Amino acid sequence: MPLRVLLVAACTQLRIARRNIENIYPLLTIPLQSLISLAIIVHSGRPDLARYSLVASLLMTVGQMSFFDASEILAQDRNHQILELAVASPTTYAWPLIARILVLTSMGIGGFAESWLMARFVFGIHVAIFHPVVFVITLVFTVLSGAATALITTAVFCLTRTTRTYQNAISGPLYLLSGALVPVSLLPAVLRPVSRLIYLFWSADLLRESMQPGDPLFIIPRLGAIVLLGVAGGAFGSWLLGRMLNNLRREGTLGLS
Amino acid sequence: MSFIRVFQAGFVVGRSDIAVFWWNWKLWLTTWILRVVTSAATWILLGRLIGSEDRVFYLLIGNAVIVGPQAAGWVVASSTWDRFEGTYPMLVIAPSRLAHAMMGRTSIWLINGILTSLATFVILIALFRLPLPFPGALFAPLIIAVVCASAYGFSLFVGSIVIRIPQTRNIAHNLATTLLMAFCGVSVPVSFWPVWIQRIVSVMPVTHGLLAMRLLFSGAAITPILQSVAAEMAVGLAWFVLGVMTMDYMANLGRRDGSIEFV
Repeated sequence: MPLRVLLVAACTQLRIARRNIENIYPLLTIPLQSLISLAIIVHSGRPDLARYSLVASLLMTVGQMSFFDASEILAQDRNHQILELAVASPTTYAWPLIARILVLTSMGIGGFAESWLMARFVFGIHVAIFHPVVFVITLVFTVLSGAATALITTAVFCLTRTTRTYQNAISGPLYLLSGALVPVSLLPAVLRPVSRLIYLFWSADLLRESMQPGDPLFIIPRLGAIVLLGVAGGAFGSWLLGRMLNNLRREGTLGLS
Repeated sequence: MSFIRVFQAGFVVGRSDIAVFWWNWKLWLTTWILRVVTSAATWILLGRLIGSEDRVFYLLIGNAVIVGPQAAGWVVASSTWDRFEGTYPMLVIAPSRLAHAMMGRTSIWLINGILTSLATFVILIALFRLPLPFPGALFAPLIIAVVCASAYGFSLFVGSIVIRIPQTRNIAHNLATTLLMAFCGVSVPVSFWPVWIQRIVSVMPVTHGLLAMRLLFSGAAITPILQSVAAEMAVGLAWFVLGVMTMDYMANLGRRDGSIEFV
């Protein structure tokens, strides 16, 4: 895997994102939702819960950038007739694809910065990060897992028209089940085991705990869960992508969308 | 060509538009309504995290109502689809008004908004056991219809603006609905915000209709409910008229500067 390919792919995606407002619109709209959650929290006299709002904004922006924005890359390459060239090149298509997905997913971190500033300057709430190392490591692993898992949706979303319908549908259940805004302990007991299969669930708890004075417990196992789910998602996504591209090659529809 | 004929033709196209996303009601329920209900439930559970059942019910009513205008807000995107399909120039040069065809094509999203809000209300009421004030609650669907119609008028106006810059359709829709959700009394009372914001939201859709819904559920007298519904209708009508006028103005502007092309 030449590093140059990854760098060129990442730079290309940055240039595309700069020109295409659709690529960055989660960055503009999702942090605004923290305005709503912060308003609810402040109006209820519970500014101590502000970290829930900030973590939700971060995870929803990362999730949106990976599951929805990045997942459009392959479909767009196909629409723009680039896919044939990319697949025909000597580099495996998955590598530049991962680099491009990673660029978009990393941009999701901006959602946290925006929400933090909103809490500070609109509501006068200072949200401290008591355990910055845990916070940063969790953030990095979340972004990497998000990018890896996005390979699945990237492969699936360019297949049939039904996938677009499901693409629109998964955001609500995903954020509810992963406890992005509210902890899953508030959900019915029957749903809680499902949460453990979503990497965002492990990220949400760790990120929130890194903003509390008390030491977070079981850090390594929980970080391990994020990595494990990311690796599993990435491996399945790569396999699926290969199958999908082979299928398009066989049917001669790489350039048709 | 009569308005009704143009509207009907547009409506047929609108039905095809919605079928691209959900081609039967089962799919609509299991994908769209699932998404809307789970998103609303996330906000409502924030009330439970705060530890106030009053807050839970406040958020439930607000979110069950706002999902209608959010769904009706797809009008913004659908107003621009003719630009992508290359049919916009033909609509502009046709002898009938562009706004009539657009109203026909986009009105399916108003229906979707009303049905979305109704379905969400029913499901959330069952999930969170919201006490229903009978027989007043039977009028809730009427208020939902008024709020969605008012939001439709506003969305038509936003759509008429983004028709010039169709790449911004999704961001405009999302921004508009998020701002309505933030400031129009969905999550916190309008009085929470500074006075200048309160003045702006008094002429925005949702604000008065949602107030009427809250009054209905709190068992208030009929007069303030009717006053709020009337205010919502007036606001919606004003946005609708503005939207229709802007739609035609933008078409003429585009014809003048040659920007009605396929994008």
